[in-house]
This record gives sequence, structure tokens and C-alpha cells, in this order.
Amino acid sequence: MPRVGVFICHCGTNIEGVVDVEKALDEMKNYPSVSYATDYKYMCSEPGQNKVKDAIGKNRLARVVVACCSPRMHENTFRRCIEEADLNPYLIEIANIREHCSWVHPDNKEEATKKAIELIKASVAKVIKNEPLFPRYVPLTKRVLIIGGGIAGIQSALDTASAGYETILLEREPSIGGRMAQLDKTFPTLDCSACILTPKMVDIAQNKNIKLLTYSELEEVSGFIGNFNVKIRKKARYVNEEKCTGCGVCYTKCPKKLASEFDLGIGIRKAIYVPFPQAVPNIPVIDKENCIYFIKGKCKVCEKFCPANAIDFEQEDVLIEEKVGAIIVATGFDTFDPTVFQEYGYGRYKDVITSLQFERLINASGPTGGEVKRPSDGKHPKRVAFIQCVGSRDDTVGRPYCSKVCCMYTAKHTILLKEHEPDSKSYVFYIDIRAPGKGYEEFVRRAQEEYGATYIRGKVAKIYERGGKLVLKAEDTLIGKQVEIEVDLVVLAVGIEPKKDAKDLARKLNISYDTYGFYNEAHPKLRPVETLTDGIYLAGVCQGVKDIPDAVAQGSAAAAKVCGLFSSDELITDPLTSVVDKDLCVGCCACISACPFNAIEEEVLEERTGERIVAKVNETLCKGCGVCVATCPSKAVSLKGWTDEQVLREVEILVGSRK
Amino acid sequence: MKLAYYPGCSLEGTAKEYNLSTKAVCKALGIELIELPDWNCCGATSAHATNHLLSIVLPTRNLIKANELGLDLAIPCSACFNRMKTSDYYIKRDKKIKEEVEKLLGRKYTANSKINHLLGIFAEDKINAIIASKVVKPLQGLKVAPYYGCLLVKPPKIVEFENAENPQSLDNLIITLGGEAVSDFAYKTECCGASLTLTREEIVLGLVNKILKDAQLRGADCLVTICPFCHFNLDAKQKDVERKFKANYNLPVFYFTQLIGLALGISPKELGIDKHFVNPLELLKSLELA
Amino acid sequence: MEEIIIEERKQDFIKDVDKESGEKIGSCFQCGRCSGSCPVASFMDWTPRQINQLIKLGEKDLVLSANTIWVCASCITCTARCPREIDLAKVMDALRIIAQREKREARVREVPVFHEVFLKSVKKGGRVNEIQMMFEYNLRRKNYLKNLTSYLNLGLNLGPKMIISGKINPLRIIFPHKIKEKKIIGKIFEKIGEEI
Repeated sequence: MPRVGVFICHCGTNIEGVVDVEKALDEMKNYPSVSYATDYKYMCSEPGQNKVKDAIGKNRLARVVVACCSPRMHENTFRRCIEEADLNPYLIEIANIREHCSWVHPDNKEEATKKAIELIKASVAKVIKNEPLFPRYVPLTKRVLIIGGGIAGIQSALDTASAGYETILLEREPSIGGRMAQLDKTFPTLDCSACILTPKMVDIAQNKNIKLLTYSELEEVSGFIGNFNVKIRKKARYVNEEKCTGCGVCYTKCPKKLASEFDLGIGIRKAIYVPFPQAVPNIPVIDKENCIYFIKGKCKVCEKFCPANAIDFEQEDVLIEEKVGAIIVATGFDTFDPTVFQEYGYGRYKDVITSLQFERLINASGPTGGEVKRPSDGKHPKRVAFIQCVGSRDDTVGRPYCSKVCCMYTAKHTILLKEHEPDSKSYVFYIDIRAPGKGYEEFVRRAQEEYGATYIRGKVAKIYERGGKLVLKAEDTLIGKQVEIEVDLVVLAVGIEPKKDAKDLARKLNISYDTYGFYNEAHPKLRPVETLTDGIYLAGVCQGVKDIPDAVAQGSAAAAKVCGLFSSDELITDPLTSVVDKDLCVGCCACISACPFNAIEEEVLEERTGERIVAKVNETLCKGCGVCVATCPSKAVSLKGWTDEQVLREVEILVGSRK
Repeated sequence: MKLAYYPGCSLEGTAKEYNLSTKAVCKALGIELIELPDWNCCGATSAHATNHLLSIVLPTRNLIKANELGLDLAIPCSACFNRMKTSDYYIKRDKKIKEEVEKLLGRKYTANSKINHLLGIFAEDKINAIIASKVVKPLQGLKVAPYYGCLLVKPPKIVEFENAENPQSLDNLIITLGGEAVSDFAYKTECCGASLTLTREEIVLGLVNKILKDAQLRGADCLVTICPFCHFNLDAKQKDVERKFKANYNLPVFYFTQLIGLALGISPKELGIDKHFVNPLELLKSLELA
Repeated sequence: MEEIIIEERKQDFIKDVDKESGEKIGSCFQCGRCSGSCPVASFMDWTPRQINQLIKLGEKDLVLSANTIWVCASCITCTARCPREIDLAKVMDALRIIAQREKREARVREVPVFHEVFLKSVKKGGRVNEIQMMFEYNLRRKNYLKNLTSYLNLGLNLGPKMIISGKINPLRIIFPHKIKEKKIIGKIFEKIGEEI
């Protein structure tokens, strides 16, 4: 029987105020299994820890029980402490006589003391059965994959690259830039969005540590932190990237026109195209589904005119395999589709548009060259209504949340409209104005006071068309009267929602998401850029609605986490994992399906009698939850640190079958 | 096709032409209408404004009758339809109400009869196809403003009838009959004022004026309704509206079953078209539809 | 108008309305969509949204003495448009039920009178006898001089036209149609009346 030492903490008055520590100490001193017992005011303090270390040496202790606060507080503290006294750090048990005893039974001192004594005895019974455990060391690949080439992904890539790590930036559109590339100016400074974005895009292209993969998507991910295997599908552009000079003759000559996705349907692109003039890389892509050659076998005008002979209709998708140590997800967002609000007429009335479409109209490199024109007749609108909270703060469409940025971008729209159309008048219909950032409130006031936007508090009830104009009906809630207004153009401030396939990507990566599809951070307050899947980090709106400064901040934060991960050459794994006894395992693989962390895999054993399948635990992925132990019908899986032997000894004390 | 017919109180009186045209059209299409024996008033607006339980027990008595006949319901009046759907909705979700209702009626509600508004039945693909095949006098040149009114489509969760903001079934029916449905009729689901016509007449006149004005603006020759109260307000009160607002509308108001009947070649007299306040015969004659 | 004193003891009204309607008035965030959609809001003392706020403050008398709940046409558009999914039409019903139960004087007294006459007709015969109901309603709505034009219109224009076209049978005033199980209907009314 190993020699056990018991150390009871008073925790100031937290424990001693309820539990009679002297009585408990007395009983433990006389307890047969215990070789040494003592107490102290604050066991976790330096003198307290020294007491433990001294006692181990002087009394030749082989096991330690500390009766104190929750193990979540100081288990690691005391593990390190006994390790310094040359004892394996897993030969210790914490008896929680604070959160589980003194704090919850403050009015019942006698019973609390009895309970504390039982808890300590149970820990003693368990610790006797504890075995030394040793962590493993796993190598890691110091390369990072960043999924998403918007501003958050771009920032992450620039930061990890400048820290010296090889970075793969993966973007599924033909160019990086994301949503910022679609914007005209940004609030509250009214910086030109492309002007502040494109230098960063060029940096990406020129950075030696960054491998830029555009028009590419993540196909598959396997592995674990430090050791991910990713399969990427580089879609065929049908343009040879080495030969293309970006001259643009191909898309000038291409005869096939279609609605541009980048311009949200109000502009045109060709079947061979770059999404916008400042695209990085500036290499066009052929849209196979709409290219005349691919559909009918004729045309090939682009190939005829290309001076660099770069068109290659035979090109195929390429599957690339990469090994990375960390993944940053920065996949961005989509906007709410307001067609479902038939009372607003989006989709029926040409002059009812979304805020992002308005952004394209007002952009100098947009489809109308920055001229605000009514989609119906091309005339310049004199009166424009902006409606806030379309698809946000609305239970009827399952979007009760506030999209945070719409109040600000609408104020910006009224200012930009006034600059482009000095004769125009803006009317903003709102419920509340949210302007919480630096200079934000001042910006909204400016829109009203300097630029003359009229703000009316009341959510628009209905829009209909009359004589070529749009009529809006609402209540001005600040005066309590119904109002009606006739305008030339209506802009719906649509809400922000996760990308339509966000959930599919999450499943590939094994990260979790909330009811809307925004990815879950590890802790809502304190761990905003990590996920509960080790090695995968988040940045930008895919984690939750935010403005550009916050997205950039998160991009850098995620990069910092990756750099922290890569600062050591090996990963230390927690030894409190499960292990399969191959001799008992029958290969039913129930544990493999049950494991919530995908940490168990099949192993083929070559034996004299032939091949046999058994289960094998990946200790790096295993979180020690114990579900596999409970699932196994043959009792072949056990959890190190909580074997049946260890736990049952504790239970015996607690149910009183052993004293 | 056999349906349990629930006419509602007004179809015997002020909405007689709706009853006549419904029966004539169903006969022509081979739909057998079996009037619910000894049916009672659904309670309309007055019941739900006075007592919740009363507003549910009155319609349920009729629903149970349909259950016992083993037939689905056909209801011409929007208010009756709305109350029936509402009762079904609350009984299914509130055990207490179900118990109290069944106790008061001494019968169980089995909910095996589908509750349909008459328009819902004619909008069904099968029936629509039969109508299309039997059209002999297409309503060519007739520009109709489809007026759905409010209770047929709201609240969407309970009545489950199409899109509450921009329903299309009546529009589509008009087109099937060879007529032209005025597009973009802004007031298609706006309330006419219903029972306020007796208690606060001036409000109803204002609301009806807006509806007629918009119909006229869109180039309609006439309106079509699917509810007796809407018809009364738009038709019987039209002259009063014209007088008060110094307007000139002269927009006949048809029940949708009358339009179906005309297209099927049934005589206007059989459809009760002579009973309207705003005489439609001139309009029909000018388009050679009567 | 005097200022409103905000007191906790008035809060019972909110609980009563929530219970009677089955809705949570507290979730209203005053966006104004209901009032923007309401076809008769411009005839109301307080718009539907303002009524919600008054309920939140517990102002029972102000709410029940306003004309809002009587001018409401029960078109249910407010319910269809509310982003918080509050069934405001049901709340309006609840207010009307409370007002009638407590026999409060209505700003638009014709409306509760109409409902009473309508339901009386249903109670007696199982169906609404239109002409009898119109007769009794017009008798009971009083204000005969003010409503003179309406009476004349009814008596000289609408009435005769409906009789001539066969829509209304004048004999029904004396011999109303009654359904066979009218006694059951009558009993239902009585039983429910006891519970109020």
C-alpha cells in the first residue's frame, strides 16, 4: 500500500467557516490508509505548497490528497507542486470541500463536516489506485491554411506570413477582396474601400510566404492540431495562369453577357471575366455553365484574340493535398434576401433595391459608373427612402438579432447620395439607431445635420407602386400619426447572415455553429477567435456580425494564436485520455461512432490467426470525456486517471459499503 | 366531388346572389354541395370581440357536423372561413379549450374535415383544369381588379391561404376565365371596414374610396370579391362613396362565382347579377359577355 | 392631459391582458409596423402601438376609454406584420372582452351595442336574422337625429332595393328563421354567460 498524505486547506474562512477542519484533520490522522495529515490556511500559497513538498520528502509519501477548492481552480497548481517534489503529477487527488461542501451547506455545519470527511476518504481510496501517467510529444507542421480571402483572412495571412510561417490563403471566388471590394466608401471616415483594400491584396500576391489559391475550395480535412491533412480543389479557370498577362482583351471580345454576381444582378459580366478591375490575381476565369463554347461547341473568340495564347479549354480541376498545423476560418457572410417580404415588393418593383446593390450603384467602378440611376428608367432619383431592419430584429423570418452595421452604412448611404446627387433628399425609416463605435454617433448626426437626411422613427408597413413612383406607408411613432411618402427609389437595409453553405464547411472542419450558422467561438467573452476544435481558429463575420475594424482585429488575433501554437516545436498531449485493451476489444467499433471528437479509429492487427480489427484512440484528439468507456460492451476501453478500479473505490466510500 | 356546404347567415339574405351563383357554378362543374344540416351562425366579429370560448364553440358545432358527414367543407364567406380555421387552430393547441368546447356541445371534434374557402377549392389544379375546359364565353377584354379582402389571408399562420401580402389564386382564376387581372392592385388585401359599415359608416366610406380609387387608377373595369361583407361595402355603398368624395367610379363588383358562371355560359339572371346596386349589365353588354 | 404616474400597482392590468389574450405585450419593441399597417389608425385616439405602450404602463382607464378598440376593424393586418409575432388582433379582442365584461362605457357605444344585438339574434334562433338585427340595432343605437341621413338612406334606398331584388324578406322581422337545435345554442350562451 502506498503511503498517502492528506493536506486540508482552510481557504481563509471559506472552508473553515462551515467545516470543522480540526475534527476532519483529527479523523484523517487516525485513518488507517493515511500516513500523514496536516492543515494550512491557504494550501495553494507558496508556504502552503512548500508544506506539501517538504512532507512528501520527510514522510516518503507516494500519494497526495489535497482537500480544498474545486480541481478547476488548483488541480494544475498542485500537480506542478508535487512534480517539483519528484512525484509523478498524476498521483494526486483533489477533494472538493469548498464548492461541493462548505459553499453549498453554509447552514448545516455538522453535516457539512461529516460530508467533507467522507469526500476526503473517497479521494484517499481513489488515489491509492492511481498510476503514474506520462504525456506524449507530437510533432507539428508549422504551416497555416486560411480559408477565405476577405479582409479578415487577408489580415491573418499577412500577419502569419510576416511572422515567418508558410501561409496558404484559400479563396473560392476568382479574386480575393471579399465584401470590401464591393463597397464604395467605408464609415465613419469615408475612406475609399478599394483604396485601402487593394494595397493589402497586392501585398498578399507579392509575399513570398503566402501561397495564394483562388477559385479553389476546401474539399476535405482530416487529422488534428499540428497535423491537418487538407485536400483542396483548384477549379479549372480554363486560362493558363503562367501565360496570362491580364490584358483583358478576352473579356472585351467575349459575346456572352450575363448578370454579374459581384454587382448583385444590376451589372453585366461576360462568360470569361474577372469579377472587378482590381482583381488579385488579375487572371480571368471562364464560367463553364454559360460559355458558348462549352454549351454549343462554337465561338472560342477569347482564344482567337488572346495575345499570350493563354486560353486552355482542356484544363481540368486539380486536387492539391497540403499538410498544415493550423486552420483559420474567415469565410464571411451573405445578405438577407428580402423577396420573402412581398409587402415591400423586392423582386416585383425594379426600384426597390438592397443596400449592397445601392453600394454597387454608387461605386465609381460599378455598373453605372457611380451615377445613382433608377433601375427601371435610368433617371436620377430625387427622393430616396432607406428602410432599416429588413431581415433583422424580425422573429417572422427567424432573424431576431440585430445586424449591427446597417444603421451606420445607411447613414453613409445618405451622405454619399447627397454628394452624388446634390438635389436629392433622403428619408431613413428606423426603429432604433445603433452607432456604438469610435466616431459613429457623430457620423450619424452628421448625416442628419450636415447632409440633411430626414430620420423618421417607424418601420415601414407597406410599399406599392403608383404612377412610376413608390409609395411607402408607415407610422411616425414619435408623433403617433400615420405617414405616407412617395419616393423614386427605395433601399432596403438588409441584414447580415452566414453564408448559405456555412454549415457544410463547419461539418467538414468539425467545428460547431449556432442556430443561424455563425461559427461558435470557444468562449463568448474570453476566447473569441478560437473554436473548441483544437487548431482551428475564427476571424471575421463568419463568427458573428461585426464591422471592418473588428474583422481586422480578429484576423490579427487569430494569427497571433497560430503563432503562439507554432512557437514550440512539439505539442504536449494530455495523458488523461482513454486507451483500448486490444486483448479485450472485439472490434465492434461502437466507440468510434460514439466519440464526439472523432478521436478513435480502426486499427488492423496482423495476428497468427489472421487479420483483426480493433479500436485505437488518437491521444492528441481525445479529450477524456469517457463516452467510449460507457459505450464499450466488452469493457475494453478505459480512461486513464479514471479507471473502473479507481472510481469504484471512491464510490464504495461514498455509499458506505466501506468505511 | 362532394363537399359539405356552409353558406353562412348572409348568403340567405344580403348576399343572395353569391349563394345563387355558387350553386349554379358547382352544378355546372359537377361538384355536389351538401348543405350542412341545421347549421348555426359562426359568430363572425361579434363573438370573438365578446367571449373567446363562445367564438370557438359556435363554429365548432358546424365543423363537427362536417366531421360526421365525413366531408371536406366549402365556405363562401371569408369571415366564416376565418372563424372556422381559427377554432380548429385553437382546439388543436389548447387542451383546456378542447375540453370545454366538447363538453358544451356534447360531441367530440375529430378534425377530419378539411376547411376550405370556396376560392381555395376552385384554385385547386384539378378543378381549375375542369373550369378551363368548360369555358365557353371567355371574359375577353374584361379588366378585373382582384379584391381578396383581409380575413381570407390573415393571419397567415392560422388560415394557411397562400401569401398574405400578394396572393395570386384569384388573379390566376381571372386569367383562366379569359379575363385580365389588373396587376399591381395595391389594395388587394386591404380591409374594407366590414362591420363598421353599420357602426361607423364614415370610416368604411373612406376605406372603400381608397380601394375603388386604386382600382380605377390601375385601369380596372370592375372588381371581383370573395366575401359578402366586402361586396356589400364596395357595391351597396358605392353611390354613397361617390357622393361623399365627389368621385365617379361606376365600377361593378362581382362575386368570383358570378364571373366563373358567366364564362361557363350561365345566364346573368341565374347568377343573380340583376341584384347588384352598381349595375354590371352595361359593362357586360359592351364586351358582349351578356 | 395630465401626466401619467408610473406605479407598480397598475401592473396587474398587464397580467390581465396577457392572460386574457395569451400574448406577451412585453415583447413589443414599438417599431410601429402595426400602426403603419392599420387601415383605420387615423381615426383612432391612440394608435395600436400606443395602446401597447399604455398597457405596458398599466394605464387601464386610458386604454379602455379610448375609441381604438371599438374603431378597430378586426382586419388582423397588425398581427400579420408584427416582427415580434405578437397577435395584436387578439390583444384588441381581449381589451374588448374586458371592457364588455366590466360594462365600461364605450367611446363608440354603437359597436358594443351592435355586438350585443348580433349575438342576441344568434342566441334566439341560431342564425343572424339580418333584417331583424338591423331593425333592433338601429332602434338601440339612439342618436336618432344625428343618424337621420343614415336612417333615411336605409329606409328609402338600401332597404327597398334589397326587398325588391329579393335579397331580404320583410316578413322575417316577424317570423325569423330558427334552426332546429336553437335551444342548444341558447343553453351554450347561458352556460358561457355564467362563467364570465
